[in-house]
Amino acid sequence: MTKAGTSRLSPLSPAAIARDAAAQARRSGPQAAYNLLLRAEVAAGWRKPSLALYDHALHLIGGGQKYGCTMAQALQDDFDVTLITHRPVAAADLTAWYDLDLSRCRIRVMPLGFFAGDEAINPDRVSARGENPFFAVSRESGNYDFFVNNSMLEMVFPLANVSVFVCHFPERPKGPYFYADRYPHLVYNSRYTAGWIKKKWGIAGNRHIYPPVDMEPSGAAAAKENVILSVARFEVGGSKQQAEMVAAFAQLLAREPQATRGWKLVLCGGSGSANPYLERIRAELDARPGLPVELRVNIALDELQRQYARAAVFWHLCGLGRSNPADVEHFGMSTVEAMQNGCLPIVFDGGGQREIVDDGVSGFRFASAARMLERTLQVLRDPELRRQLGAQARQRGREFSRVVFEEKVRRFFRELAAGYAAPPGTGAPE
Amino acid sequence: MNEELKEEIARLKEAYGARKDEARSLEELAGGPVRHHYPVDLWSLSDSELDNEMGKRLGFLNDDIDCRPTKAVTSHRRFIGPVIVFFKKLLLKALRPYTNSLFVRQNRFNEQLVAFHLASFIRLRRIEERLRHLERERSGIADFGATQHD
Repeated sequence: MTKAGTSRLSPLSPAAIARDAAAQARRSGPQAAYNLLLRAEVAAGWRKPSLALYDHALHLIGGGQKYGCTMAQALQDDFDVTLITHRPVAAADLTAWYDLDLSRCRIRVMPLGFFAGDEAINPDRVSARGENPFFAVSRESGNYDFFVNNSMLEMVFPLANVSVFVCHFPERPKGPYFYADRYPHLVYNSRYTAGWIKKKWGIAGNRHIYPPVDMEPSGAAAAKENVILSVARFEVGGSKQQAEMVAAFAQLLAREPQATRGWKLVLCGGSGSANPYLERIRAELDARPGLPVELRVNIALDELQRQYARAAVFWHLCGLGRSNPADVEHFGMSTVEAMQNGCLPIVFDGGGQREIVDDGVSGFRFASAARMLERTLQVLRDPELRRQLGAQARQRGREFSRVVFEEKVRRFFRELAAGYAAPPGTGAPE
Repeated sequence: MNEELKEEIARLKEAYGARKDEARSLEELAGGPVRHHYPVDLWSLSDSELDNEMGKRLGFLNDDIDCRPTKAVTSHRRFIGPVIVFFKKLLLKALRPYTNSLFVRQNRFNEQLVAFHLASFIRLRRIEERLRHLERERSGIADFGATQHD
């Protein structure tokens, strides 16, 4: 909380508020005086607190953006919510992408001259040699009671009374225009992320909220087919390792033709128009026409749901053989989606996956390729094990549902709002 | 009383809002000194972060290859300013033959240095790719026979 947020108001009278605001402005500048007035309005019960949720990439589909938008949906009854971004995006798009109702949220688009035209808003281009283009966002943050930075963008100095930094992973080191330590509240999406925030930025998160995952089938669970599924973006750098999955599956078929008869591998994921990595996988599959591997690129949500519903096993290799922590899954939403559909997950033992899959209880984790093949063969040979662990995975997956996420978000912000709106001097938490 | 208070708060918000808008710096807004930068601890960076850092800094070096002065000659003195500007311009013109040869040499040096760093950077990337390949072999991934891609 800024200096204004911790100040005490005198008994409310026009003269007293003017005197307090003037004193605050003398001590801590005009923003602090303004914050005092904002808080007085909320404390008097004249309006709901205003909340700005900032995401510089709101116009793009992503897990982080889904997190922020779901947060906005959960808060729009208690707060007057504004979504701040830099490129045009319609509320209807957000609704379609994430299946959310954001009808009571406003969208404020603030173009930044620093990133002209269609150029990507890449914070890596900002250096201590020049001005901070995100100063405009800092300035805007001071017009709201609450400011939530969902961008992982540490270059925005918060000026609101209550400021929350949501960190999905500390992508950049502590360097130029680093203000993440100026946020009194830091929300993290997994314990893995929290560990890296501490290690890279030297600050501790104080609220753990796992991302919302809502892929549970609406009706009765469909019968499982002999399908091993992977759902991951086809990253140009190949960090999700679909090429390795194809090779691993081919090896399984060759080594154990009996156990793998009738099984196929389905690779689902998004991709941009030009993707040499995806082309390489396509070429590999063209070269082996008999290999039972299906590629499903940029499929619609309902098609993805069908794939989850029918798949018996789920593979996730991201992080295997990589030494860089950023190349390991920070959480692993697609693993949870698979679990909510009763797919038995066989995932790399690292990053956020460790927090999702209990090894041997709700799936299997592996640290080496050999172990992954071994576990896969084990479950392919044992339908009862698949059924049992699949059911336990489904149960575990429910713990990460949107309902659970929204409940945690509401509880956290209601705590903050209670302290903020309490009559000054009552000793309420601030 | 409530209405009076509302009106007063609205008036004050407008006044302080205007002062806020006039503030030119974060320090003015935040009401105190602000630490903006931290030296990047290169030793603590991961490989991909170092990669990023190197690319970024190489870009900055490239932007600064040309070291000739670009700013126009100015003076903020109220009355004698134009006279100062005249003499500054005269001095710069008189020294140009000497400074130019220096700048040309410096620019050439800068270009060579940036090109050298870029070549080193590319070599490092190739060595990293080979190293990654070996790491994969060690972890057993290469047993899959997948094409190497990164």
